[in-house]
Amino acid sequence: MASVDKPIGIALIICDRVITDAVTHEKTLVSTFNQLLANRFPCVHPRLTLFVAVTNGRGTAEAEIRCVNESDQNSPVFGMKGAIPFPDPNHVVEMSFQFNNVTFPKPGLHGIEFLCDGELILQTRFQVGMMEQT
Amino acid sequence: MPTITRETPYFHRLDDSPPADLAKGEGSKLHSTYFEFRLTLPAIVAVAATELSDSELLVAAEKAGTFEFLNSPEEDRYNDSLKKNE
Repeated sequence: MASVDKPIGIALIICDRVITDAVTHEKTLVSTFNQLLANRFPCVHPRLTLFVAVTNGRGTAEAEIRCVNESDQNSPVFGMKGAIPFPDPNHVVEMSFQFNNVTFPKPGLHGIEFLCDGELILQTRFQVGMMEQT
Repeated sequence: MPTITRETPYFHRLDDSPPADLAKGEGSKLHSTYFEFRLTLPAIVAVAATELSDSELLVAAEKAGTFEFLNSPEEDRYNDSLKKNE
């Protein structure tokens, strides 16, 4: 059973971008993916967005999102840190992290981790691979 | 197994309030906040900045076969019209 004080992860989705409806403020995740291919390395991906939703938080939590290359001794690729406020435990906090010009030095299995106060809340993986030459 | 509904969808609205008002949280019901973060990372990969000259581009295009079609008889209309005028 999860700790009472620990936030509960709802979603961690990798996509191209998140569109917010101007009237209803509903979110639309565009072009979700779990694999990236490149002709050569290092490669630059123009845009990558991570959509995160968590709940059951209390007070303010120090959040961190990071991407590591699990095939290369968990070397960090990119990341971001910040404080997120939880008005009450039932509150759902949704976040989108848009990273532009992400450089992937090497191919391999990459992990995306979302942490609150140093504790792992959500995790997903995606593959960065070499495009097959025809 | 696919689910097939034979009912006609019916959308019921409690009032005529605009959607933005209906989307707001009420009382102790579940509600959410949304944060958007954007970060533009510096491009570490060096991009080739060498620009080809016009003659180099022409040679590259010819070698790639881009202009091959110009040598075909049906594409030589300009010279044909010149010959007719002579």
